[in-house]
Amino acid sequence: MIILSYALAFTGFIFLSLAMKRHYRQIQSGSVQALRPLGKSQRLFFRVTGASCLAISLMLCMAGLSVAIGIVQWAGILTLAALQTSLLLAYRPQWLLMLILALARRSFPR
Amino acid sequence: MKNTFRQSMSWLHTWAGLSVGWILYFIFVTGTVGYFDSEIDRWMQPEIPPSIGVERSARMLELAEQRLYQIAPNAQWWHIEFPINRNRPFLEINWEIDEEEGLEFLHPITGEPISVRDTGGGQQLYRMHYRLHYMSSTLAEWLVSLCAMFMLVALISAIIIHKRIFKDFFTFRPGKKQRTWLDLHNVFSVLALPFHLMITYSGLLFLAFTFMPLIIAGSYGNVEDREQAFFDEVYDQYPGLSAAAVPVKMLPLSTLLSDAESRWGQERVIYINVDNPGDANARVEFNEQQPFGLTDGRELTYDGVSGEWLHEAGDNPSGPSLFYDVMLNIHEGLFAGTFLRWLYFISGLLGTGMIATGLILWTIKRRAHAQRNNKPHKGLALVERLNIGTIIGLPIGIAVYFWANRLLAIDFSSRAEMEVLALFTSWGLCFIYPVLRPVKRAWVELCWVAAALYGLLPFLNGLTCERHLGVSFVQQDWVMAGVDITMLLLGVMFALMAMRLQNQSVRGWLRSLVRACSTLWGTKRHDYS
Repeated sequence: MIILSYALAFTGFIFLSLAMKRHYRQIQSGSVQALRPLGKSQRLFFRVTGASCLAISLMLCMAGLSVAIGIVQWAGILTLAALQTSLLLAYRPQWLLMLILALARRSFPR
Repeated sequence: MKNTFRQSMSWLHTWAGLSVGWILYFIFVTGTVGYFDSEIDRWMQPEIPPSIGVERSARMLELAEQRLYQIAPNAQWWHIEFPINRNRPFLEINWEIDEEEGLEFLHPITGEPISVRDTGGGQQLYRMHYRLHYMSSTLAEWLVSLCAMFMLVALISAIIIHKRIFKDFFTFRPGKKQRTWLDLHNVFSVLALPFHLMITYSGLLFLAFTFMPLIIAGSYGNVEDREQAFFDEVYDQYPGLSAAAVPVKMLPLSTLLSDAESRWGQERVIYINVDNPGDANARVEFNEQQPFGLTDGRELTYDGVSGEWLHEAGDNPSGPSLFYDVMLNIHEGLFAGTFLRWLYFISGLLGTGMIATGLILWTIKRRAHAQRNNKPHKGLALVERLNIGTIIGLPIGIAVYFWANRLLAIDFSSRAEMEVLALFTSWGLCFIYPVLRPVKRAWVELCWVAAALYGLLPFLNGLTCERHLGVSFVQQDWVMAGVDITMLLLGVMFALMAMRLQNQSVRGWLRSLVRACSTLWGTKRHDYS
């Protein structure tokens, strides 16, 4: 439960950072394909997905513990997950790209 | 000069932060360490076996009672704590005779006293968090309150002046000098902002009775016992009673315990206070354990002689009182399991980093300005040296505290005080060192000292006691192993910091290390750089 809610928070933050121009470019810098500019609908998609990941992460925390302590733990998880995201963006953006591609392949198998 | 609201807030943020920054750093470091206070206690008292099992509460209470009748029959009060607390597998008894407090640990199954070395342990470090050291508690509480208030001002002004709080949420740009420091300061602050706000605000609540005494005096009067009446009401205490000086035989405590357990359920009592034991006015108070809640446990008070039930507190707390309890409990995080405890610790580290980077930013900005205008800055040299002495000096002092715990002779008199003395002496030396050395060199060298002190601590542990890392792993004693490994990691962190300051990569450093070693041993090696 804890691992799942942490993973969801981390994924959520990756999506939220993808909705920002600077980080979108950072993450894409590892890809071979040419850059595609960040479109409006794409941005909305990233934001909604990211925010819902964070929301589900909160619900998992609250379900695993009590509501009150769930919120406390969620705040801590957000801090750590956001820190991880921002460090990876700064030092290893290509890892984030690989993670996203792996996730996409898992969720939409051909 | 400060034309806009934002500019004046920026001024406020700078000076509110700088003026108390060093004390705040001390409070944050000791507080962060405090989240692992009982783990450090365990490490500092390796005589205690990792797990010795527990008995039923009723049986343990009998053991404690027996021992207390033996060694402290005429005490003013007794305090008995069951080994439910994390990492403390023993029964703890405290008492006071003629203003002299005593403490003993008992084996929870046999009731034999366990002899442990005299040490301040993690509790001493945690105590410094709100009590500082070498000063009266009143002065310390006022100082801490003042610092916490400045901290709250600095936080709120920071939220106002940080225009791009969401846009720069993830932004960290390494290798860009001043920009990087500001990014780091922002990342540390913004990402753990819920924690920072919560910890500062609830910290102020802790001390509210100290720095707002007039509010109590306003409705209760300024006399001491009226103040006591206020606290009795706030904490829903059954009014205390002084001894009648008539020795009477008390009921066995286990009889009262079984009544308490019939109200709350089995094994719910965590500690017991007995006021005036063996006296006609004996009072027995049971406290309920709240293993995983944000509210406080209930309290039951009995007459120790007749066994009459007198009072139950905390059964139905008022709104404000509940809010107060919840804030204090979130601050202390006693309810936290291992994972949440680590999250608390990491948030605390981010807060520590936030203060450190803030202090460093102040000097970087002024140094750049002084270089541009070719005019030396007056306070810069002082702040730079205070920064080194505090930011790197305090961790060195704490490491020395751990070293002292292992190196001082076990039967050394006033051993616990010597540990604290070692902490503050070594920390004091760290203020003198940067006066004698150039600033940049002082940073690097002290970082290496910290790296060595933390990195070698597990080895010192292995040399001086039997509970070293190997044993901990085999016995799956994760508390002992956890402290050792955390110390190793801290050592690595300080080494990385030192390398960063020397503009050296890990690989380059390893290469020069190999080269130095090979010259030392006189072997010829190919230079593969």
